Amino acid sequence: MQQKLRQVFQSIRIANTVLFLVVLCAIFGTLPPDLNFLSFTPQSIFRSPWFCLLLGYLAVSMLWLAFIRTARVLSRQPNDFSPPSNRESLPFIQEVVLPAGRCGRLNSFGNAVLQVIKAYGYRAFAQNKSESEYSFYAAKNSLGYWGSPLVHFGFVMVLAGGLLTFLFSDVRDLSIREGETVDIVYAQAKVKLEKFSVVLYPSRLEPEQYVSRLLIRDKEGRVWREDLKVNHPLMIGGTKFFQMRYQIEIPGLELVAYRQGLPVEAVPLKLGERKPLEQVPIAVEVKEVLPDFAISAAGKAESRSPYFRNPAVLVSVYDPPQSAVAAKKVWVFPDLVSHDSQKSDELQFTFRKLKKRYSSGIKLSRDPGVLFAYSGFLFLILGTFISGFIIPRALTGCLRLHPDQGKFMIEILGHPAKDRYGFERELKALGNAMTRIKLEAAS
Amino acid sequence: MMTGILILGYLFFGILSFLAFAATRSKVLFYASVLSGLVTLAVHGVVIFKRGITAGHVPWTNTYETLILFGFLIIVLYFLTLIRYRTVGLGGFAGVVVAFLLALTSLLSPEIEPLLPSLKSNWLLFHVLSAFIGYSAFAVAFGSAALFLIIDVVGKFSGKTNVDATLAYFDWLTYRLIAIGFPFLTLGIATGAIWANESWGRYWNWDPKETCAFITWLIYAICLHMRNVDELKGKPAAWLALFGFATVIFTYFGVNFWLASLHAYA
Repeated sequence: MQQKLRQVFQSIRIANTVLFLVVLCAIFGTLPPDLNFLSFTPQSIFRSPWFCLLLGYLAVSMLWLAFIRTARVLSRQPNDFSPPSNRESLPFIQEVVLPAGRCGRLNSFGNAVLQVIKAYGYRAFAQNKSESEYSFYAAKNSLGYWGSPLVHFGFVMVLAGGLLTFLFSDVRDLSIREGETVDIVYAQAKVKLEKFSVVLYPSRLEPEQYVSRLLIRDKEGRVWREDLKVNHPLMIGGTKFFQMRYQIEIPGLELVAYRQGLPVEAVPLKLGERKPLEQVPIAVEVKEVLPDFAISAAGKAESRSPYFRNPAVLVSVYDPPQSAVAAKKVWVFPDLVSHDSQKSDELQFTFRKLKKRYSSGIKLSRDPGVLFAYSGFLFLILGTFISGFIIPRALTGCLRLHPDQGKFMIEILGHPAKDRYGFERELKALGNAMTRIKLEAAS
Repeated sequence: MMTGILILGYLFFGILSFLAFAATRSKVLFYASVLSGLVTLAVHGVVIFKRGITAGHVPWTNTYETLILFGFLIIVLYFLTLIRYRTVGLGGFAGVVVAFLLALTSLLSPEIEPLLPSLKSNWLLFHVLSAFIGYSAFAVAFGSAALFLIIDVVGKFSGKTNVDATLAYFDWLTYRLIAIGFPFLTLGIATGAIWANESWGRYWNWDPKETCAFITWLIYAICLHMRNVDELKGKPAAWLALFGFATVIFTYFGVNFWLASLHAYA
């Protein structure tokens, strides 16, 4: 039973199948949320027990593998150059035949060969020295063996972080109006939004930053101010505050009616409120506010930006005041009154005292999973880079007297490596370098 | 104008690379392809640098800019592969793919826009750059896998003796390129998650872009695992590399244009 369980969690085929199933689930989860299959939305698959079970299998399997591989790396002796277990390729053999020249002794030439191999970054050790044979081991990039355990352990850490986040995180969205104070119990602080500003790029319409000026009072009674900006979260009482979005409310304005260029009456109005005028038998209602009025190419009124650069309000005029349908609708500006060349009794409108109030959208987050997830990311990054770029290479070699007297023969056997063709090239270069050393030694 | 010149340059480079690959003994064609590629790449680099200087920020903040960066990195990755492994045939794919990517920029506004508040972060540099280095390695791996499949089909009819060795080489090269791209994709996803936590208060939101990046990561993880199973080397691995690159393209374009995402500005 134990053996079978071990096989299940060690099997690369099962791992690949589970990874593929996770891919399928994730593809399903990206479908638009308005598609409902079997009474659940696509996004809900990420919280389904089946998906969690797949991730659970991966976590156990990867943890198991990480431990096995870590134990294997730790138990590896510095001069242990047994071939790695992967089945990438057959060993490479490079033979170099060298004239013995004046080097004479096999051992001294063997030492020179080790120096050449060391120059290529290998740790090289002589294994067996005799009059007729000189064998050696060499290896480099042993750090590369850590890649796989780190990747698998990192993924487990990320999953553990995700689980902690899923179970224990507290993430809330908050909307605070300017001037409003909110008692955030779990941050043990009272927070007042003094002012919200949209900072624009110089002489442009695009926002550069959203800033909430907060007045904070903590449980000890300390009071201080902080600017909360996008990408610059604040930590208050163990809770992180994030600047998210904003809204503008229009609490009210004052509509001014003109006749023949002279003000007739001013009436305070709320958005959507219908009020009769006292001096004229009509009623008015403000339906819509555009912060930056413009006429589109299609001839429709629209706002160029969310900023109050050219505000306009849509006024519905009811004549008589009780009528259900507006007699006319006009766009009204704060400082524009049209004057007809022929004086008429038709009413014109402007508005003033447009009150606007910002609400700042703030996210509050307490997430115990972040530390785990970040540690996992670190291991994942380290592990994948080590696996991808630091590829262990090991070789064994033997130096013998060539059947033709007066010559040496070096046989180098490269152990299987992920970077097969790069290793082959290096073995050839090593062979060439050995030939050169002989010539130098001979001279 | 400059984009048009780059497209022509890369098409020319791609054709020369294919010809150099077909005529393996022609050094003239090989050097001509290298020279044309390097000249076009230099011009491409200048275009990116000038845009960065003009914009006053890193020039990879929207789809238009990242397309230009993506093309540049693919050619850089190709030349690094060429220096190490002498595989000129991949240049043909790289040239054609980059010309196509640059042609897509004509559908987008080239105007330099100031950064949105959420993009004003140092993480932008690492997140986008590392993700696109990964994507570029996968693009070159796509070329290698495609060459594998083409040689597999053509080789059967040609009756050449060294087809198996060539296939083994391209199979291995595809794997190596994926192994190089994978850490960068991991770095891109991890830095993106950290940035999301700084910006949106959550390091993972199962946003379509995030989910698609995760799918891409898983597919390439499967590709890497497949090296340990003999029966899954060769053709299955090549097909999965092609599918992996299709998911890269969907993650890059599909999510931006078809799915509602927090990454809408990308």
